[in-house]
Amino acid sequence: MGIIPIFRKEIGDHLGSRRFVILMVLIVLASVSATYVAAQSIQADLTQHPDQSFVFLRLFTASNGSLPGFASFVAFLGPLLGVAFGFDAINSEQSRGTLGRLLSQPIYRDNVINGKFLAGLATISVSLLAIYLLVSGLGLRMIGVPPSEEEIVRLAIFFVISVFYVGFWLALSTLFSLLTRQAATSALGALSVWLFMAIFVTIVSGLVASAFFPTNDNSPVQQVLDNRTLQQNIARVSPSNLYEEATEAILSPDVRTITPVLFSQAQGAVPGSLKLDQSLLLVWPDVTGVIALTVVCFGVAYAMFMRQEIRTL
Amino acid sequence: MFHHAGRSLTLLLGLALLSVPLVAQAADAAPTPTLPNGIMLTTQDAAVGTGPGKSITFPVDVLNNTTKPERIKLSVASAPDAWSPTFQDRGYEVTEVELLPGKDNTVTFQVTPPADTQPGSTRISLQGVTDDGLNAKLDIGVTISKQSSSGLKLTTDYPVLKGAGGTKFEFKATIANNTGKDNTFLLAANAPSNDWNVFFQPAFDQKQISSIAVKAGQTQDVNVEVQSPQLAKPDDYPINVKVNDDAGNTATADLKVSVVGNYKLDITTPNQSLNADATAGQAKKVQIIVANTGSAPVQNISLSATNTPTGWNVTFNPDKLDSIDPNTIRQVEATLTPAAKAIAGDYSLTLSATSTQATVNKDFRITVNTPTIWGWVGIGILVAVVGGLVWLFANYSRR
Repeated sequence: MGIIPIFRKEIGDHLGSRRFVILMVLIVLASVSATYVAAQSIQADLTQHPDQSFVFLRLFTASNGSLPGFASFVAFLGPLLGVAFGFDAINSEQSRGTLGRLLSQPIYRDNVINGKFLAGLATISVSLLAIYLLVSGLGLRMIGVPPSEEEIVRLAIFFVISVFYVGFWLALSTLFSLLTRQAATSALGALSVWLFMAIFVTIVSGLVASAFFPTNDNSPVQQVLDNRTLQQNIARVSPSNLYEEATEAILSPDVRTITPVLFSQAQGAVPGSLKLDQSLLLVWPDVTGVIALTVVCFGVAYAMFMRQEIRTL
Repeated sequence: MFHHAGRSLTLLLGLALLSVPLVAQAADAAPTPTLPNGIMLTTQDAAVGTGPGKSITFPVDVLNNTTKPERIKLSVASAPDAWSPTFQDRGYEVTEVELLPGKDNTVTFQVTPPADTQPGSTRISLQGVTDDGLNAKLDIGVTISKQSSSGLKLTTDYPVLKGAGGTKFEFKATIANNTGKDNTFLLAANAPSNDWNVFFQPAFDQKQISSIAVKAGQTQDVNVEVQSPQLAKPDDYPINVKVNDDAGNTATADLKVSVVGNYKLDITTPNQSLNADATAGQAKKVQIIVANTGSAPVQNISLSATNTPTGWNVTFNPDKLDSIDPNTIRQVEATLTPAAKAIAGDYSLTLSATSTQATVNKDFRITVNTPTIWGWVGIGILVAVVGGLVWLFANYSRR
């Protein structure tokens, strides 16, 4: 027997589960309100400056100050989606005693974890795609500016990066479900990692950077630059920060650097948008980081699952 | 002599105790050196110069230095024809003067050389004769100069203007009306050829005029506008401006327009685009075309880049051009090296071709690309990670 039955079964379980409904309601509410606010500010801006490019992309990034943009919501709530579909992937089967029964079927053992992971990833992709399309449709209806070809490509890249990003949290929570027997413990572990990565890394990185390169109002430029650079590099430990940096450049072609630069580097620069390949090149390390983290995390979970003694399960 | 003088003194004293200044005057006259007995004609400025057509006056002093009253007939012994010599006093024409002994009178002698008088010196001889046979002579000299005696003058401070073909030259001319009466003056100018356009404008106004009214004794500024054709060959073009009135007064001014070559440079690229892509820290060669779009050769052109962002390096090969003929181009290779730390995206810099004759600045937009090396490193990492996963699958699949 192949991977397909497990995959189908898992998808069915996910899509029918209450946690899916709850999460979708939460995310749809956040996304729609973010898009609504963004579209309103874009509308106001368009009446003043009608000749703009990449208007459609701004639907996904614009915020009015009180409500973050859509991309920020995905960066913050996406991990919840990933954790929700992974935290009890293995240990719930164990506690119900169904894993042994499952493995007594003529099923290869790796198909179990692969199928579960792929099913989670598929659910995430479908959910994200649905939300993105919802946002696009709502925004299109409100601002009336259709996306250009390049914008569609950029959105597609944004989508792929988002799937990998949420996939990382899926892989991480799957790993936790292997490490702990209790589903609640696993969920708490994954959620604490999420909280740390989303919030505390930024604080800690600022503290560490200030310890190494203390700055005040009169600090030399180089000192300030060192401080910011170190802070940013520490913060890049967090997949959330990597994801936010990556999507910032992908969704905003006029972003030319994501690292702090000296004034001399920007001297003579003309405002303008970057070509897609340049935007991608700018955040390629971040994209690489997100994808690699996801693959490595899943690889570790895979190896652990395969090496576990089934009879003790 | 003294005797006479003394008598006239007593007489004067008797006459004019009323007037102290008169007494003083007479007292001054007392030590006058002896004058010959008889009558005399004298004038102070005995030979003067003037222009043709301009009347000239001599105050002639007629003196009776005899002991009795004398009636003196004034006449012109010799004077050129048509100079209309006259003696005048108090506005009347005078032909005879009656003088008491020792008295004198000043009459005005006026001649008017006609306007067509040739330059040169002329002697005029005046004489006074009495019935009792006394006579006196006075020779005066008049030198006629070349200068127009016409009271109309046309002057300009800058009679020669220089500029490129197609330029509108603006001369400022001043008409001075010294003819003695208000008049309207016709303005005329001859253009070098039909495609030149010469017209007159009053100062501070845009109207084209062909005549102008000037009050007697006043001046009026007139702008002479000369529109040169775009294709005028470098040369000197004379423009004669003439002012005249109905009384035959004429004045001219010789203006000159010196057309010099039209110096114009342009910078472009073989495909006309003023942008280029470059990679941060890596030299990029860009073909530049320097074109002479003017009408004269431009010499000693040096190429440079200004407004370059910090850390950028721009060189030209060659960086100097000796000369470019009109309507020809030269190709120059510019090497742009963006700073190694330049951020991706558009930068602006100015390329200039400069000579003493013409200068052109063109803004170029350079799109800086990030070196792709780190992109490949990232892909390498991903390949390694996925390879590791495949290795895991292969080792743990337990099939």
